[in-house]
Amino acid sequence: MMPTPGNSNRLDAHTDWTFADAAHLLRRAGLGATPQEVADVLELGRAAAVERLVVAQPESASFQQANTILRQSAIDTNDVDNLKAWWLYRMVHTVNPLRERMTLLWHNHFATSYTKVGSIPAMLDQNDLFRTEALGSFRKLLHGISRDVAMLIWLDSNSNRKRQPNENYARELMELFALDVGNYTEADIQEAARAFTGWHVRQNKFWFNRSQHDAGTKTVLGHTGPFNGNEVVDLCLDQPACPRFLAVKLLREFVTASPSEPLVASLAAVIRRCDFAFEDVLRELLNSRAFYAAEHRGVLIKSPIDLTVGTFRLLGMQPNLDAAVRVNADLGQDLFQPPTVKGWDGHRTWLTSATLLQRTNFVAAVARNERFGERREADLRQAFASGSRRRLLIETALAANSTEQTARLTEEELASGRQQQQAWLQLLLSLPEYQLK
Amino acid sequence: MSRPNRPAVFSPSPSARPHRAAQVTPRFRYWSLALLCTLTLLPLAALEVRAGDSEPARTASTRDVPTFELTHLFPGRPIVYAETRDLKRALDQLQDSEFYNSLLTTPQFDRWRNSKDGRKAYAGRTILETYLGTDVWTAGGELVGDRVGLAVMANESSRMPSGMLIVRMADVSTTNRYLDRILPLLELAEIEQLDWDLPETRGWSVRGRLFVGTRGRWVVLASQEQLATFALERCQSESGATVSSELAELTGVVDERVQPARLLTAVADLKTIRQAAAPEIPLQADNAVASLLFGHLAYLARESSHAIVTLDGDADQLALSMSMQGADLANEPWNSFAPAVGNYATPAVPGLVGGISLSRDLAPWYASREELMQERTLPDFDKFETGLANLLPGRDFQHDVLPLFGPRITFLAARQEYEHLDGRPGVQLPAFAVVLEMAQPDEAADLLTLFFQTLSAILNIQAGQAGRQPWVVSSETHQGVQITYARYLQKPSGERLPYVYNFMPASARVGKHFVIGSSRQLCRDVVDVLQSESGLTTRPHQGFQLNLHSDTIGTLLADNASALSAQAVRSGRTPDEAQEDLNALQQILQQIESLSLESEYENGRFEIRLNGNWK
Repeated sequence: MMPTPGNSNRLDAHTDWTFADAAHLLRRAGLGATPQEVADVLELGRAAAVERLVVAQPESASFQQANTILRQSAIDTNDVDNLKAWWLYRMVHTVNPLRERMTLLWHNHFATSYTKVGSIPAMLDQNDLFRTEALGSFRKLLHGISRDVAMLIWLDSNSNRKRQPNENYARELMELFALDVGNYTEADIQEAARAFTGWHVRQNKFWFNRSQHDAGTKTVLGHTGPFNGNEVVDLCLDQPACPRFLAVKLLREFVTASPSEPLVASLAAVIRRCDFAFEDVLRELLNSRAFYAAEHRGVLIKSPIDLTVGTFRLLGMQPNLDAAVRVNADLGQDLFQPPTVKGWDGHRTWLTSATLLQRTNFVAAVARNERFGERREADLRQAFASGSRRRLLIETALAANSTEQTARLTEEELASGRQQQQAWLQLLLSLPEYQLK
Repeated sequence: MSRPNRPAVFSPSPSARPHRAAQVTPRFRYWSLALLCTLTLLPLAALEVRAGDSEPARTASTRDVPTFELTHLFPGRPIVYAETRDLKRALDQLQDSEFYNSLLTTPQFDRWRNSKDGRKAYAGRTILETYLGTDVWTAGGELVGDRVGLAVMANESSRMPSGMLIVRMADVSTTNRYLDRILPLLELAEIEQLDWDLPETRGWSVRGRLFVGTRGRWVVLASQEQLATFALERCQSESGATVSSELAELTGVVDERVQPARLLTAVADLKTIRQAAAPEIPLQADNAVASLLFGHLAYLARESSHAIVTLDGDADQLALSMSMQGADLANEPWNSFAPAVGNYATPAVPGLVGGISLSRDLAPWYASREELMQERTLPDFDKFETGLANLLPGRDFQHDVLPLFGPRITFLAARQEYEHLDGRPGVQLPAFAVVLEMAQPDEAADLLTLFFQTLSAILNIQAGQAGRQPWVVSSETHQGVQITYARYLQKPSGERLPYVYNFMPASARVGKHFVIGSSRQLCRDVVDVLQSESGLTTRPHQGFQLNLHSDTIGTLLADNASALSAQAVRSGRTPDEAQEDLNALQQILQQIESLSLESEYENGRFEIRLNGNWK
């Protein structure tokens, strides 16, 4: 059953709960799922399904073992590609996909690149911070990132000195991290930069260099006092622009690329009410009518991570992570190496004539069991066992309205041959609708 | 000395005249080109296996060779001839070996055994064993365990060359027993019983394309009827000349390697194959290291008259060799072989993992790089020279650097104890060292010292940028030799230090040798060898040697188990599978003693040998 139009601005609870709703939830809030996982979530009911996403679930022993050795290997080898592979492993195999999605969201929000930082442990620590606070408090996150070693290196904080303030961090704090353009002045940036003087890195740790800190009086965002960095962060969080800015960010990630003003205002109010506790905010958003509204289905363009990790999860694969790292970089989302301080623009910029061709090549390779590891043969046989199973695979893979358009995929008789099954799968994954979520 | 009637030119019937002259046909060209490539590439493929330095094995039992010569049963000179002896002994040894049996206990084998392919293979084996009435090991030993000869000959009456396979089985009753079991199966195919006018002989034709005959303990398969009857006529008279002379006579190759006291001896007439196939063997390589080490193989394949492959082995060793002869590299302007000076054996330092010793005169090879390398690789040489110019300003590599050095270079890898750290790196690399022979020791040593100092300075800047400990260049005297080394300003400490802390560069000059290492201890150990009475041992005529020691490799693997497991997980394995793979590799390494690969060049004969020893 398709959702009823007209609910697109409402954050009150959605009432229906269908296979398509469950698949939508796992595509948008998770990182993709197999038809069986969608069926399991359907069985749980909407509220319980959302609860399972927002509340941390225990990871398997195998996951934890792999997580440990991949993480350690990235540190030991000092190879950023191994770090990327570690994170991709988490995304593909975690039972907490919303946490990884939010970690990715914060990685893009507080975009920091290894290219300049040059330290695997520092990038790892930052990523851990994003994950710890992925569904936690944005307050803690903003305070944490202000003292994060990778961020301090990235924005040249060691050159932010009492008599020669460096405005990089103060500027990005207001423009990109908390307020957005138009909600502060150049004078606010200059004054805030003074508050962050002396926030340095020493021996790979945060160090408050008291001798380089400007303890004088500053005026920031209409308030005057001998502010330090923590106080400036709090001043930013107190601004009405802050929850609005975050509401737009969340809605563009989970609901629509162009959120309406009422929807932004509603979600901003929720964020303020929850005091930036994102577990509560997301619980409300993922249960809302707006999230499941018909006009919001299939309107977001999949990011490279959505496409690759989503495909691996859809097909239950244990992929070759090295190949996955390379293809994501080729498709424009090179983890730990975002292009600028603004991160990836996302949405329509993900698709170019070049990346669309590369996306098609990627799904073709997966369908043919090339480069990215083999799908388990038993799983493949099960997925194609009957027309109804194939229909479930289609409904899991494609966003709203796609099932009707692709009815021929299920209606046609499918021979049991392996090659024909691969061709069918390639056709499914090559559909334009598969680029959307 | 009696000798069977083997005509110089085979003429068993008017319809099948001399076989010596190669009839060149397009299909034959493809076939022979493939064969030539196989023979040429065999040693390259062997490089995939790591290798040691033992001599080729000789088997005691094969000294008692039968007096009858298998080669008498072939009518003319073959293009390719291969003969095996005593395979039953090898099969028995393999079946009983711990190495083989340990492979069967690995989870990987178990997984394959239970896979679709594994189940099919075992089903096929069961059917075969049921049909033959014995297990495959026994059948293998009885069918091909005694003497087998295979010949490929030019065929003027057909587009395809002729082929003959001759097998001498253990005894008549064994031959008949297998015949009785196989014949009903052949009845299902389109076979025709033939009536050959030879005593105690039975013959069949399979669709007129394959002729099978038996006589006593002999089985003959041939692509032409007259070839089969030729062999069957002669196979009963098991007396004749000495073994080696007959093989040499048959193949036209007089060489100590062409003797049948081996598990396998194969000879290919490269000249005839080339004439028949006219293959285009490119001389230009696409990789500088491959060109330096093996570029001459292409030339040898183009110019040599014969290729010889031999396999020897017994209970705990195996030696595979391939040689080509008849081409003189010495006249080529790019020749880098320096057989007159020989090659150094790998110094036996403590904890040796492996080493590569090379004897090559780099100057002519480097000067001829535009002829020897593919066009697209040449810019890499320019990049190399530009990069080197930053470290050695004002020096040209070809004209100022290369002449300072002698032809012998040795690369070493050995376990390290990390005296320079309080703790261990997360990835534990072996210590590396290179021993360079210097033609002009004073000038070369100055140049290398400058190189060492400049490199240390550059790496120090990088270390500072990355927040690592910088190096301080220091020195010590060891065995009267000054060792210059770079120590860390503060001793790095920690359980899983960054991998860059594997390196503590050190260098020393000992007479005409200069040592550069990634560890001070390895540098000291090499100095000990160089200062010892025997010094570096020279192997005459040797051009290349690679050897590996499995026990130290096994220790290294164990030290880096976590990193290797991570690599396996990244490639799509589960953590459990990764651990199983590592365990299996360790298990195999425990059974292997050493592996070596070496090459020699002497008087127009090039030989490459792969030796393996196991416990």
